[in-house]
Amino acid sequence: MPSDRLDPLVLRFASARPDELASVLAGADPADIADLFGDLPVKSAATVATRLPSWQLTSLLSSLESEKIAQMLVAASIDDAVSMVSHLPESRYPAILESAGDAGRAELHQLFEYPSHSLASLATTAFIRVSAGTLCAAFCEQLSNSTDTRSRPVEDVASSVEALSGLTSAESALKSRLWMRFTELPVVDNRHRVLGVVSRAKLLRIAGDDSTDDFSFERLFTELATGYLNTCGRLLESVLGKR
Amino acid sequence: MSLAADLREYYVEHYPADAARVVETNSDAEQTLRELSDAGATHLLDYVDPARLKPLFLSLDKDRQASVLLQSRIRTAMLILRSLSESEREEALNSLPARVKTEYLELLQFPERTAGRYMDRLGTRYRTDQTVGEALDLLRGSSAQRTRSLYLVTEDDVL
Repeated sequence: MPSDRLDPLVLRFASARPDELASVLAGADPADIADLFGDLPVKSAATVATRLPSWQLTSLLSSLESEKIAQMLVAASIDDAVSMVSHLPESRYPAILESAGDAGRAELHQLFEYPSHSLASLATTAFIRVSAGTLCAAFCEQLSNSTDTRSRPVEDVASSVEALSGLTSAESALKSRLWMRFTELPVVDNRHRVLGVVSRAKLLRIAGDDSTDDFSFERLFTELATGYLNTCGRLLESVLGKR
Repeated sequence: MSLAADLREYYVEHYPADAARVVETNSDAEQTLRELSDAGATHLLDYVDPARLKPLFLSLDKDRQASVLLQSRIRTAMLILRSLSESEREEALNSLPARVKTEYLELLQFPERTAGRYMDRLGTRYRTDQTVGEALDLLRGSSAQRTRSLYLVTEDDVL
């Protein structure tokens, strides 16, 4: 049994004060943490692991063997198990299921599989978990200490998003399915250069205002001025472009 | 120091009574004690059941035994020394600095139920000719967590 190698004082620390142990581990070397969790009993390991900062939990799970993770998931409370799964890439599910026993496998299936129409299946796992009491400075430090993405090119961790054209009306933009995944979307010009970012809340507000269809001199003047400035801009651009 | 050793020391430092209960119920308590630093082992022994003190103390090597007797509370040191046989006690006392050995020998002679049997050692001595600033610097530099009174003594340690 791996836990036989671990000091009884550390075992008691882990079982009696998991929150404090996790906070003590915050500054420790990831490789040392992985070794420690390899030796901890699975129940304690799961309890302490889910109290680690998000980046540390992701890093830890990436270094633990599938068999250990499967045992931890089965032994964990349902909250802790869900928390662990939210930090696991889907690519590891098959190996974890494979290494779980028959009884555990059914349980893990339930954890991994959400109905396709449920919110859980729509929710992205690429988020950073932080407790409300964490100081901003400590959180910044955690982010910059994160080893799971630090050495990778930005391109690897970025997710692609379809942009909205600047000419798209607020009503049309609101129909986009992209709002199921994003609360803000980039806006581009006809050459696909980023102009800015627009939020769904803002579009909803604007679409609501437009629905009144009330005539106003102020609105008429704004539209005329915008059209005039746009025309001037295009003329200037074409003149400069020719030179 | 390994991460497990760091955690062990942290637990003993912050939760010595809980750590003492773990050691008391552990079949290999001596091994656990030996793996602790001098400060950790001393802190733990301050909280261990007096009935378990003797075997735990004797499981340490001579240098660490002396370190424990020097760093522990007077009460713990007296409990340990009184639990030892005459020859073991003499050996333990001989490994201590002369001043401490004399002090402990005097303390051992206090009869049962006298104040001398239960007193704690004065960690830092404050002199009558020191300034308040000097005394405060000494206090800040001491390891005391809580101090109610500072006792002033002369050069000859007279109160």
